[in-house]
Formats: sequence, structure tokens, C-alpha cells
Amino acid sequence: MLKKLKIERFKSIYEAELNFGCANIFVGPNGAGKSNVLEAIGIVASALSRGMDQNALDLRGVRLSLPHLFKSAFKNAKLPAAFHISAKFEHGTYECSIRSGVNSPYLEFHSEAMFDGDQKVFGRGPRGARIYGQNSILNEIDLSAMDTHRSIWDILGSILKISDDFRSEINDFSNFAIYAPQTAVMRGLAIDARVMEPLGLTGSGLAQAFQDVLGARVNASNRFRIDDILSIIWKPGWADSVRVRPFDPNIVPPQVRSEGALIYIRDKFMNSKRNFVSPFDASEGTLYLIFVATLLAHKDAPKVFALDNVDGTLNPDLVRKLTDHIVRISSSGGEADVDVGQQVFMTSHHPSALDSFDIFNNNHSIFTVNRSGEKMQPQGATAFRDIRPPKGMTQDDWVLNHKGKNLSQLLLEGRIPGALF
Amino acid sequence: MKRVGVVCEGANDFPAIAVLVRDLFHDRYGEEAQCFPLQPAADASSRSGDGGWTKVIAWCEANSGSGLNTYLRAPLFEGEEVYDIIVLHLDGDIAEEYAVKNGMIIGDVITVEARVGFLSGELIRIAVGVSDHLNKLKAAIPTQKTESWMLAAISSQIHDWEAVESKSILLAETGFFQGKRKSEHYREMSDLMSGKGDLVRERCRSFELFCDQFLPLAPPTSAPS
Repeated sequence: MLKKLKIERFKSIYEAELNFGCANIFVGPNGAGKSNVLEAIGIVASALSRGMDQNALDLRGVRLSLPHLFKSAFKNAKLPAAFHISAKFEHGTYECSIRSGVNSPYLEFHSEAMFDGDQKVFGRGPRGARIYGQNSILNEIDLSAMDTHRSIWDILGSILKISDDFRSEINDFSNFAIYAPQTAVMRGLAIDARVMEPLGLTGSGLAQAFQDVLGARVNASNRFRIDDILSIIWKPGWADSVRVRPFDPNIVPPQVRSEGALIYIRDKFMNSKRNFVSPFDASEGTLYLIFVATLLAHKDAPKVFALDNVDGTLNPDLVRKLTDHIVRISSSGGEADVDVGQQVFMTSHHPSALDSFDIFNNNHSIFTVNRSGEKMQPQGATAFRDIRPPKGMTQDDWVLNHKGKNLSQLLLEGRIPGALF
Repeated sequence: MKRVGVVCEGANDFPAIAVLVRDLFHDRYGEEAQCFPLQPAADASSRSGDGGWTKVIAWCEANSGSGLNTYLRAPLFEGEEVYDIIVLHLDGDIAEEYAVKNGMIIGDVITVEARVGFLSGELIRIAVGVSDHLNKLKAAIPTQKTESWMLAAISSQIHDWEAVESKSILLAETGFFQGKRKSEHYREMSDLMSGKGDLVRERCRSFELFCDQFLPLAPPTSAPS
């Protein structure tokens, strides 16, 4: 699990250090830098898989800005040579400095290092790179010709000797992606050209991924957990069945661009001859619920992922239910009590989303994100604040002190510092 | 640095009150003070929501008694700071309306002291509730409107300061023109008030009553010979 992230000179983030739990949410005004922190995580994940390759970044949901625009460029602050990200996991640490030039087609490594616990595994700087603690051949390997946009882990990770725990963590984390489902893609009206297995970042491939999840239910040990996850789909109250079938011209209008199979959702209030609708006609909210449920339940979906503004089209009650669901599943593994090691990062503009989080639980983290902090230097730099109760205060006292208000109420009253503006 | 929470009727009242409070702390205690708006409350769509005297009363009711603890005693979140005092503001011209709504009688013609005393008493009574926060609540009640205090600070003319239609006179004297943002104009006027607290106190009895709630420093005791 990603425990801590230190970010320097990345887009609107001048300097930040964030401690994470299993379920993490970022709230704050538009343009505050919420998506930037997700992208910083995406860059580390990319570095731990295929380096700074544009395609690798794209598949993680990192916006392919021009390379020089990744570095922050605040007024009255020196333009940095590189941006720096340090990621601390439970069993090790990875850090990298990434540089870019106006004329460079890629982001490039300026430096990087990995530590397995406290043991250095490799280090790289402008003057060269070196492997540590391996056999004599590896320790002396000449890495001077290594592509500057490929990471050492990308090239040598499979043969480097590190602890199984850390390798497992890296494997899970390196699949990290930022999901931002789009209605038009899920309805079949737009195509996301990125091929992403098992589920596209914007919702492409949803029917096949959902079919995979249904297929996995045949195993009884999975069934309970999957059904628990899928139960969110029925919350709006009108659907009682979802199935995956080939394109049916009696249900789906011709303008829908089918990927072969489609999801069909049964409206329990309609008569049996006209009770299935395709994503084209289904409620937007239900499509988002199916998307999130599929992401949580699919065995090949990333265990560490981000949901960027996924609740934008949901009503407050459904936002609460969906966030409850995500937080519960990611924090505990679901009612089956199986720890699947999921870690989720969410951004939201919806106050109701906060009510699913417990600020007394260290597995939950709420971060307010804004750029209006008067004390922030340079001015306009993104400021993060981890919302926690005062030290030493009991949960009962805290509830009594604010007279039992929900976090959403406190947010709307302006009582959560930095959450509104 | 003292932290002062301000509950006021409108967003345009805040900058003027903040300047006067800052000067008051400086003159009386030699301390810096920073004011923070508590009401009009920020909402999800803008920096400040609706104002009006009813919102001030509602704020006092909603945070009455132990509800003030999170503002004045122990913060809600780690890293937050509480306020040293809270200033509760109402424009005095609502006294009659407030009295009628609450089945009270205040008479047709009342003195500045009576008007200010009536509304101050109501505000503090509602907000304090069952708590020991009395000394940390200060009522700011201009006899008519906050603009009276602003006019008293800025104007080079002679007026019956607390009886005139201060808002229109203030805007006219300070050259407000259609098309300019009123909030920006109010901020500019408030900046002009800096250091004019003595003048406002001299011209407005209601402001003097506000200042009187801040105890002067005790004179230094002479060391025994």
C-alpha cells in the first residue's frame, strides 16, 4: 500500500507530503490540484512499470501535457530543473526526479532510487546509475546507455533481488490507473481508443468486464464478495437484473457503437416484453454504479486505483451509498472479510461523499485541497490538509462538540478548513 | 495575534468591522488582531452565502451555548485554531421589526443606548445560552447601519451621523458609480477607515458602546517602595 507521497515542483504542487490510508478522498475547489496529485501517483506507477513512455502514462490516466508543463512554474520562484516524487510503501521506498525540456518529446529521468526497507536497491543520477546488494555481475552492470525515459525497474526489475513483500506491493501498485468514466463512452456513443484491460479508464469494455465478473461468481468463495460488491447496482431501486448479450436491434438504437456485447439492465417495473434497456437508455447513475462495481469486483482490475470525480452525476443519496460502498470494500475487503489489499483515491465535489469517511480511522483520509492559502509560498501553490480530529479528543467528545453534524454539513457551513475555497 | 470571528448581516459589513476591530485591539491592547467571517456563511457555490439579520439570529441560535465551544474552546479539527472573541453584528434599524416578530414592545422613539442595548442583549442572550462564553461575545450594533460608522470615519462633511440615510450618502460621497462592483467599493472604503476609530467613536455613540465592551488594560500597579 502507498503510505506516503512527497511531491515537489509538480504542476500546481510546489511541495507537499501526504500520508494515505486505504480509502482517500480529495475535496476542494475546481483547479485546486486534486487531479494533479492523482497524476503524481500515476507517474510513480508508470515509473515502476514502463518508465516515462507516453503510452504508459496515458494508460494510467495521466494527461499527456507537453513535457515542460509537468514542472511547476510559479511567478517569483525559480524554474526547477526537475520535479520530484517520493513514494513510501509499507515495505520500501521509490523516488524519482523527472526532467523535461521545451524541445523534449518525453519526460526523462533525472534521478531515481529504490530502497527495499532501508537497503538501497538502485540509484541513478545525472552521472550514472548503480545497482546495490545484488550479485557481482548486476552490481557492476554498466547502465550508462540506458534510455533516459525508461526506469531501472522497467529494465531490470524482474531480475533484481528484493523482498517478496515489496515486490508484491510494487506489482500491485504499478497497475494503478485513474478512472474517470464518461457517459458517452458507456452509452456507446463515443469510443476511447486506449486499449486497457480489463476495463477502460472512461468505461470502454464495460460489458466484457462485467461479464468476467459474473463468470467469476461460479466459484462459491468469490460469490459472496462479488454479490456484495454488485449490490450497489440495485440501490436506485428500479433495476433488478443486469446481463450481457449481443447487440439486440430491438433494444439498442442503431447509433450505438457496439463493442460486440452490451449490457442490458432490467427495469423491474416494466412488463416482461419491454423491460430491458441498453446503456443508451439506462440511467446515467446506474451506469456509473455498474462501472464502479465492476472495477471493485474484477479480479484483474488494479488493486490500487483512483476515481476522478466519479460521483458527478449522482444524486446526494446515491453519492453517499456509492462512497460508503467504496470505502467499506477498500477498507475491509467487504463483508466476506477478505483482505484484497485495495487502495482507492477519489476526488469529489460532492459534500455527501465525505460522510462515508471516519476521521478517527487511520485507514480513511480526507484531504482538503486549495490554492487560496494566504501563507502558501509561492502564492497559489496547492495546499493539502489532512482532516483529523484534535489530538487527544475522543470520538464521543468530537460528536458532542459539533452537535452531531455530518461532515457534509460541516463542509457546507464552511467549518472544514480549505474545503470550499 | 488575536483571532476574531465575525458574525455579521452582510458580506459588505465585514471589511469595515474588521478594520475597526483591528484598530481597536491595536489601540487598546497593543495587539494585532485578524478577523475571520463566520456569517454570512460560505456555501458550496460561492465565497459567501445569503446575509440578512435573520441569518445572524439563526447563527446565534444554531451555535448557542455549548455550540460555541468549537469556535471558542476546542477546535473541530487538528491544526485549527479557536477564536479569542466573536463579534456579533446587527444593523440597529431592524430593532422594530425584530421586536414585532418576537412580540416585544420597544416604543416609538428610543434612544441610541436603548436601541443598542435591546439588540445587544438579545444577541448575547441567544448566543450565550447555557455557557460561560459571555465575556468572549461582543455585540456590534450601529444605530442604523454599518454605513453610519463608515461615513463617520470617511466623510469630511457634517452629518447627524447616526440618523441620516448613511448608505446612499456614503456611496454618493465616495464616488460609487454604476458598473463598479459594490463589494470592491466597500473594501476600498473600509481601507480608508484604518486609524479612524477615534473619530468614529467621537461621532457615533453606538460605536462607543461597542468599544466599551472591550475592557481597557488595567493601569500598571506601582511597585512597593
